[in-house]
Amino acid sequence: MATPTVSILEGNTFIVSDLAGNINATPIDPVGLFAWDTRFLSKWILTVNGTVPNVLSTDDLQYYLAQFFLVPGTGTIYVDSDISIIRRRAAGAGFQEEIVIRNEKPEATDLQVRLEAGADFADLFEVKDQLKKKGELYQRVRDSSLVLGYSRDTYVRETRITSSVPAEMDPRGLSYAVHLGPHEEWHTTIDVRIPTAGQLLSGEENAKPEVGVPPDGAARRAKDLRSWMITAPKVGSSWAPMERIYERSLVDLAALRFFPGVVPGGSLPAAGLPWFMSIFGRDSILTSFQALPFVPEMAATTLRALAAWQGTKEDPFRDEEPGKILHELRYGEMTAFTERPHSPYYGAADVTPLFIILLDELERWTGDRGLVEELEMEAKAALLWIDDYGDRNGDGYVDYQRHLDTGLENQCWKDSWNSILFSDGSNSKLPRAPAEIQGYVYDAKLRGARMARLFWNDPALADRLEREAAELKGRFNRDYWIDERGHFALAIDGDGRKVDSLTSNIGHLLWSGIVEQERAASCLDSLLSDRLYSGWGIRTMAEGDGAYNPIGYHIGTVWPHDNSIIALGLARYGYREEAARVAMGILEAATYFHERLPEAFAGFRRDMTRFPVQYPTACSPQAWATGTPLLLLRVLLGLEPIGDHLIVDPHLPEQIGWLQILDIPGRWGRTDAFARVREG
Amino acid sequence: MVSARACWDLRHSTARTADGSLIGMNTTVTTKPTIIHRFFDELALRGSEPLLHNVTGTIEWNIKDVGRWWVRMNHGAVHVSQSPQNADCVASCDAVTFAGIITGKENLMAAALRGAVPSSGNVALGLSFQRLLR
Repeated sequence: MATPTVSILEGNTFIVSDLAGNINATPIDPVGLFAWDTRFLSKWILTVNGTVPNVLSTDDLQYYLAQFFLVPGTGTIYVDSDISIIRRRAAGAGFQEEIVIRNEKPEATDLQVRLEAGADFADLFEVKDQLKKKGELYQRVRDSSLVLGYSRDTYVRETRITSSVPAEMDPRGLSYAVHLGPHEEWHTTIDVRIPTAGQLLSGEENAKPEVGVPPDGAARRAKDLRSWMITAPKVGSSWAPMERIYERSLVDLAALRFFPGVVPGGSLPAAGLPWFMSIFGRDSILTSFQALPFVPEMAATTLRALAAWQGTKEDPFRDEEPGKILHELRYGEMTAFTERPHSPYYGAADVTPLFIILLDELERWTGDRGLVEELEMEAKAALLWIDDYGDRNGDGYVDYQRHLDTGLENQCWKDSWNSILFSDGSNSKLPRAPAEIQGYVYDAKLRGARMARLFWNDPALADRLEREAAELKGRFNRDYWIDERGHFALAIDGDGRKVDSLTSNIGHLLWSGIVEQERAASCLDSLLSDRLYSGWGIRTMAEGDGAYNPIGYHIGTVWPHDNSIIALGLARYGYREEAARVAMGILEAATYFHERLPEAFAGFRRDMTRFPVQYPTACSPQAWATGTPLLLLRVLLGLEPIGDHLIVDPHLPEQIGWLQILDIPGRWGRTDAFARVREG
Repeated sequence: MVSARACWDLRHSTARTADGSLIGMNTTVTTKPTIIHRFFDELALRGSEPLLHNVTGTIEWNIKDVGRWWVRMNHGAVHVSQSPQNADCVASCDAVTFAGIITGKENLMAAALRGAVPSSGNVALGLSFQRLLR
């Protein structure tokens, strides 16, 4: 079992430490101070008189703020201590840490207080893949600062540490000789500063922090979080956990806000902590989609940032093509030296149609036609990509195949190498055309047609897109259907074979609307069969298929976001009761994870385990898991914008007597939605 | 149906010189300063770049031992000058790096992260320069 850790984060920075607030990273642990996919601090250990204090308690008060209460270690069984230590740490442009030491006894005392500091400047990819550094590490004491640095050719990264109380600094840390009279208190504030985005790209030295100025960051962030929470709609329910789940989602969404720089002042959801604190096309789009009824402004930033990075040329290393929307953008050393293709990397076949879907959905909710007009060229380029580059073998379906081994083998949401498997467990051939992507394409064409007609004054394009969508739907329902198994294939592979495992992907088809009405009931039956439905949620792969593994990343676990999309799909086809059942299973699962849904949990049957079993290395918080309760609330209340109105057409599960959302923002201004279970 | 590739090229018809060529890719026969001068000359001829329709501002390129250029972008219009003007973003690099960037051997974002293109001011504007490259 992993050692318990405390994580705080802010913007593009996060800090993971142990319960005493210390960081002592081995090359492979994701602990330390991270920003820009780089570990700016890998050692940060407080000692008093040469020993590491013991932990009394730890509070992560807010996502950006943690407090550690300690007493000096005695090395023996616990005895009353007459010294107490408080560390208060706030994240932001690195972190600021206040250390308070109190002498509780009536006599004076002298203490040697030391902070061991070190930085390995590991790229997150190196932490994940256990790789060695190629440049030089250095440490310097300069202008009352301890500078920890790393250089490789022109690449320089520095962490600058200063103290409000003068410290004795050496290359390995800071020391204080502290004299405390009876009942006296001593404190210092240490500023650990890392470069801002501008400094990172400017090659300038880190801004020198103002010594002695208490970090006002925490107060500013507290105000920002209050205003975020106050602006968001209010949720109330007879089912007690609902409000807590909703608040957890909102706070985590605030924590995951990432400021992409290309959209001044705007924030979008980063994909997840600790591995994915960056722009991810798929994750940022789907999370923005889930959050539309609650915090619609994230979607606009997501779309603008992704548009600014839209592919313009063919670049095999980055799987870039004109019109394609990025998969992920990274800032670390391996990306800088093109040892990884993430500057940005474009290996995703589903993100480009999803971009169009989000743009249209944003307008439906907010009435922001300005954005649809502003991004007309990008949306049309995305539509062109779908028909040309998207379909590399010319069979009429969007598929993928990486150009180089540094790219991703699977470029759909199930992006592990072993996700697109036949029912006998064998792997399929590239290029692969997953079913759900064809659904997204269908939806993107219809939505593109709506935007072309209403906002781009392009009825010819609208007509053509509608024709193509109708033709695709007919063809898809023939080509992907597996008669003998009674469900849609997971994909069509490079040999033209139907990949026949039964998977959650068919639920996404319902969301897109590509499923012909007469096939919808069989999709419903498959999704809620014992093979796919665990009792908590719909598994990524059905029990009984060759590769099924209840703790396999994409081959048996339950993904909350996957279920939220499927629930919306079930509702779209009128299966409201089943949609509510799926929603409720996931919401009940959340109560076992302190209201914070993980990225994925195990696919074990509910009646076997009685509680949902966490997937070992899941990210948490993870953006689209965080967005899941928001989309499920939309499903339960049947919220749908029609014209300038919000339609409320609820269908609640039996556990929820009543449910309301107040102040839902949108083109109608603000409005409320309320639902009560009918008696009898 | 018109393919994406064809459509994309149509947008850049103004980018092409009379002989239809874009930037010289063969650095062994053409010196780097020449490539760089030709690049800015062709950019000046191009006059517009639809991919920059959302971008406004001026980038100053300071290329060591080669020269300085100011590229003004205004909702898709592109104006190139060698006489000093106010810049929103000032970017510097050596001739090898810049030649790599404009010939597609080097990625601007990666080079910037590496510290090979120190820049100040509106760095996001500087990155949008990548959209002028093929």
